[in-house]
Amino acid sequence: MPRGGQLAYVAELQLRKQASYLVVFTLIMVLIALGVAIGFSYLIPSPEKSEMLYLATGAPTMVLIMTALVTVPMQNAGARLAGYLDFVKSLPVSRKSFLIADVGIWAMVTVPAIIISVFVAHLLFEPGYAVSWMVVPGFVLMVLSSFAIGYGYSFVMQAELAMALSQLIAFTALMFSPINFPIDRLPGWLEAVHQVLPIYHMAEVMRASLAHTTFDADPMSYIILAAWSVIGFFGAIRFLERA
Amino acid sequence: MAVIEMDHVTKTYKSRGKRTVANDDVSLRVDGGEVLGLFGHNGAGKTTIVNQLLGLLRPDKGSLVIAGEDIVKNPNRGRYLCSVQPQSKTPLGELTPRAATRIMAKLRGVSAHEVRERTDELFEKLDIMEWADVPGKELSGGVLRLTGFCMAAICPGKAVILDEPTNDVDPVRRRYLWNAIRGLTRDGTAVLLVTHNIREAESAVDEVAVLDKGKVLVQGNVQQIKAETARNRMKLEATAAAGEEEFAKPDWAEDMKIAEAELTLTFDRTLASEALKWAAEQHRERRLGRYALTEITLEDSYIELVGATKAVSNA
Repeated sequence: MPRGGQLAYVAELQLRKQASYLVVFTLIMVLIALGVAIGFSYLIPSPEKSEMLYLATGAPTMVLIMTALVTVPMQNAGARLAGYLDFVKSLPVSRKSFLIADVGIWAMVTVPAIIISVFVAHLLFEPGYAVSWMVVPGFVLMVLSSFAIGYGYSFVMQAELAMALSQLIAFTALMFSPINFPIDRLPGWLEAVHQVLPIYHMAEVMRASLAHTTFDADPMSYIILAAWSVIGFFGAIRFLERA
Repeated sequence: MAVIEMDHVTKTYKSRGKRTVANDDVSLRVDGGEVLGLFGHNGAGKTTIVNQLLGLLRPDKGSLVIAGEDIVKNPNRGRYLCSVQPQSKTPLGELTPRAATRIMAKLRGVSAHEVRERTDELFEKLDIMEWADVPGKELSGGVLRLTGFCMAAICPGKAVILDEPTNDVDPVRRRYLWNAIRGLTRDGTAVLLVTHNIREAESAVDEVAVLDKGKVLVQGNVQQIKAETARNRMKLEATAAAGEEEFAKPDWAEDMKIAEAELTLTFDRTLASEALKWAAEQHRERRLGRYALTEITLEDSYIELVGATKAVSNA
């Protein structure tokens, strides 16, 4: 395991290298979250409370996806092309500490957007939030699974391909994934695909934590997210430790 | 005592069914307190050696030992035992040279007080103090490269690997850098220096290894290698004011080359006075510009060595 002191220095390295950039991304994520919670309601002619609740509980999931599966993989692919990851790999520290520090930093980027969007949506629409204690372990699980996949694919795939995939994920997550609407509206085959992919399960867990009186998450959702966490981090660590 | 020992290391890259032998039975040794200059053409396999020592690549065959530890068995130990200045400029982003150097020192467990002192000393030595607190993204390539050196030199450990440290650095600061590289060896650190700047490296290195197409062509002491290739020869260097066709090789010269208006004649040193007389005459007739009689340099030896293999492979 990485030593605590070293982890702090690696975190400092990652944080100070891109401090103002991280602030900008924090603000962009706030905009994306508000865009989903408020902006998407314009797409629906006369939204009912239940539909508003879908959007309001979908926004935080969207923030995690845009950060962990789109922004971070873009960053990683760029860092690989610039030779920065080789530099990181040559540092006299456990390479896992780089992963832990980086996930921690980027997870913090999502927190203001999630809190602000929930707060604003509540003030504007009162869609029926009911925050459960599960929100904390649920958030941790969602962070782990989404970042595991983001780091995993951006390390395992060719850098240019990873960049392209991140754009595809951004588009499909916004338009065609059951984050902002019920999964049964999708055609059967796409529904089946989403039963395996983590996006739908992340949305389910997020909904159950933010509005537990209205939504339930199947235990299977937690298991699938845990499985993706293991697969993703295994791939990312294998890439980092590979000699 | 040997700090870095590479024995019969072979490394092959495979890409789309094509095999490239990057290191072919390479054996190298760097002693403590010594600088080994590793020279070779582009793609000769120099950076592959560096990456294997750091545990970023695993050799197909052979053994790698750093400070008595087996790096093939424990590739993770390489980066703890060696500090490195990579060939690519480290993108510092918003980090300042001072912050980047401090973090590297802290990772190697240097105390805060010592970090400050050593950072100041290094920055002053390389004359980059005025950029110490400027974010990396605003720095020029040369200052970034020098920062990379400071990051490796702040707490050098058993061995330091410098991969083309003088690239992009201005001539004045290059001199400071060569001094600083020499300074690293004072407390017994072994330095592996990869460079194309052989002319300047000559005064900073103790031993030399020349790599050619993945193989070690020659390895040994600088003076010894120079003596072997230069034998008893000297050279006359001059700028040619007349066209190439107007020069005929004088009898006393062994070899004459004219390239880009630069005339080089090699000859036995007992014929130096004749060479000088010839040059003065040519100068008077305005066929030569400035001229000088010099010793054969390490770079000349290198070009002769690498040129010889080319001639053989073309034959």
